[in-house]
Amino acid sequence: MLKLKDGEKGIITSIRLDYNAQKKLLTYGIGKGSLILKHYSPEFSGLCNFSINGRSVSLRKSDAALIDLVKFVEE
Amino acid sequence: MNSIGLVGKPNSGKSSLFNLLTGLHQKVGNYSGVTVEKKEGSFKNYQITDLPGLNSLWIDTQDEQISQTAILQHANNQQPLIFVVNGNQLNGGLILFSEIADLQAPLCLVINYKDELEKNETVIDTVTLSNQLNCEVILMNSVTGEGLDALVNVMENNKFKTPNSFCRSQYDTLSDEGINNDYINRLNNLNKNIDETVFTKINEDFAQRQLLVNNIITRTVKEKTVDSKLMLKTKKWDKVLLHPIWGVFIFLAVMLLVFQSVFTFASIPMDWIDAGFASLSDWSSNNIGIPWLADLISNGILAGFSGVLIFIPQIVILFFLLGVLEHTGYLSRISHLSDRFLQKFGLSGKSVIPLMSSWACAIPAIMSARMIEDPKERMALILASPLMTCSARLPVYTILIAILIPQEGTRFFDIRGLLLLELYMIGVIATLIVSWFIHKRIQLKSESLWTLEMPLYRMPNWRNVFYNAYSKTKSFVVEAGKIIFIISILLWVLASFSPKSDAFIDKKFEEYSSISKTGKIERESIALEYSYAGYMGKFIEPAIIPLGYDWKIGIALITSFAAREVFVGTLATIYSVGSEEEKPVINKLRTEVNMQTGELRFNRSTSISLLLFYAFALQCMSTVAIVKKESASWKYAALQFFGFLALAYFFALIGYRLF
Ligand SMILES: Nc1nc2c(ncn2[C@@H]2O[C@H](COP(=O)(O)OP(=O)(O)O)[C@@H](O)[C@H]2O)c(=O)[nH]1
Ligand SMILES: [Mg+2]
Repeated sequence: MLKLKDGEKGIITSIRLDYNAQKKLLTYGIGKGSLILKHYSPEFSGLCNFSINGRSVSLRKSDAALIDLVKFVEE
Repeated sequence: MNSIGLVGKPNSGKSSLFNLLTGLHQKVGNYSGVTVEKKEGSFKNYQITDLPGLNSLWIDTQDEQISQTAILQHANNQQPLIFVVNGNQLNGGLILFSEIADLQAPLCLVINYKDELEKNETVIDTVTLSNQLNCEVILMNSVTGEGLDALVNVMENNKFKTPNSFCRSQYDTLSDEGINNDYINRLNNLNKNIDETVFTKINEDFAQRQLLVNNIITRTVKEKTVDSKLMLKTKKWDKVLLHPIWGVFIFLAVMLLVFQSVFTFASIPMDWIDAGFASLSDWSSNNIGIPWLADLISNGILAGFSGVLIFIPQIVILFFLLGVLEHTGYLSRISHLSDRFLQKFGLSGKSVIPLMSSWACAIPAIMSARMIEDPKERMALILASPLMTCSARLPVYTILIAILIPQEGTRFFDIRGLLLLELYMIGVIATLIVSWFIHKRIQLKSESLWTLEMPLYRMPNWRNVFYNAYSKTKSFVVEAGKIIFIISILLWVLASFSPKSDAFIDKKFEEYSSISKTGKIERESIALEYSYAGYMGKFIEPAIIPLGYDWKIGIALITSFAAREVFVGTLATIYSVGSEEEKPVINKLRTEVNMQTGELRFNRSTSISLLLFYAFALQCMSTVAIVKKESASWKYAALQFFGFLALAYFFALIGYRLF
């Protein structure tokens, strides 16, 4: 997720967090196949922010790094 | 009375709706055994409960656990639930709705944020939606109350309906007795640590609900897919407010403003309260004929009341301003900015506000630690935050610093101010180190994943801000108030009664008066010396001599354990100053001589040692009581009290030896 640039969209391909964490993400609507919009992950801060289904959520970068995405390009 | 529960995701507008319905007819309590806030109120002949927000019935946090239990109970008793959803986030909201619908409880769906839906030109076909779900659907704005009539209509005519189920049949199992449904069982028996099979099940459940909900939404909602205006505005603001330089700068400025207003605005009503109680107390000592009763009223009861009331202005202002920060959405940005730094100490960005509140008073700070989901972080915060310099320490510091540094500062360089700043820094550093230590040592399970939701910036809902400040202040007065009050009376008893007779004290008074060089000794100070408190001071003297104190300071230390700010008043009485004004107390203390060594009593070593003692010791029984309540155990409260006492003794000893 950290490789995505600010303002880019991505589709989640895999999540390498433990099952409890994955379940929590699921309740936010974040799972395999979800489309997210990356907002920002500034250098100085330890957090990465994105939106999913109209909600804006921040994760710690160490956790976000374990979420793999492919870039989503709208035609 | 019929019971109705308000359920929904966090920030869907439940509390706004709750305040709208119940107004002042609400009470805030606790769910039994845990410290999750329970808000109940009445509307007409209904009892309404504002349940904690939850993301899913497949629960994760303690808040969610509470909500889930309450929801299952409502379903079991066929008591109605009002489901509140943020209209901008219909997708996620309806998935949760489907989970609850599968419990087959009587429901009604409130789609909130009507105003924003209109602004974004989103149109929801509520009639079709209502038919699809088989349940009443109401569009509402729970800030203005638009649409409330329709909801009241549903409540009055009991139009709650059991909606169509979504995935319930997936959980049907066939047994000898016929078909059983396993859904509720599964929810109830969700383990703390889930494994792959359970996760796969939940994942499938979600995927299916997602499909069904998408289907419904495409048929009933027409939305423009442009970024809404509010979102664009939020993005622009975030560019500035989360900027690595400007963002931090603005954050510091906002905090400075908040605390400046807490201290300056509050000082005006605090002076009134002070003056009001002083004249009340004068009046009662002059007009009540029975001396002991007059004394009890003016020095026991009234002192107790003023000890509680004096903090109210600061707390009201603090909670009002923090409420504004929270309801505008800026609070989450503060968490964003500070998370990385605080993480090093076992805290997170969510701890900033409780930490800063403890500069005013540790009690509201510890109470607001409730908003932290991680049990480990929450405990670290509760146990460490009373080390921050609360405002009750300020009068003690001021007096001791004035004794320590006789000359007043010039306009440009004020060494007294510098010393005060150092004491504040010691407080902050000690808090961080202690919280780091607790986080390392404590045996509690951490949360599975740290997440922070960033709401859009909005104008605050003043009704919410008001009720928030009101209920927090009320619980401070109730929780801390009764303890401060009881202890004040207890102290009065200890200081007013003596195991010796009156005649004995009269004799001592004459003896002392005749040998005293300065001549000015008041009977009151002799009475205090031979009171129970005086004997306690003498009893602990051997323990505090290494710190450079005598039994007189011992009395002040003991009374300070009720609340620090009585330190000054006690010393004034012991040294027969006859006034609690700062100047005469300072002058008297500065010239007081240590009988044994002939040196000044409050010399540099003793003053520094005392400053350090007050910086670390937990001299506030209300804090002890609140910690006991919030940690739900005496163990932690006792650990904290004695731990801080040990720290205080240690640093006071070092201070005395070094300087
Ligand atoms: N514009 C608008 N804002 C709302 C509406 N309902 C709630 N809010 C705001 O949304 C925020 C969260 O509301 P709150 O009642 O605390 O949500 P809760 O977490 O579900 O209790 C507050 O700032 C409210 O002022 C609404 O209908 N329209
Ligand atoms: Mg709420």
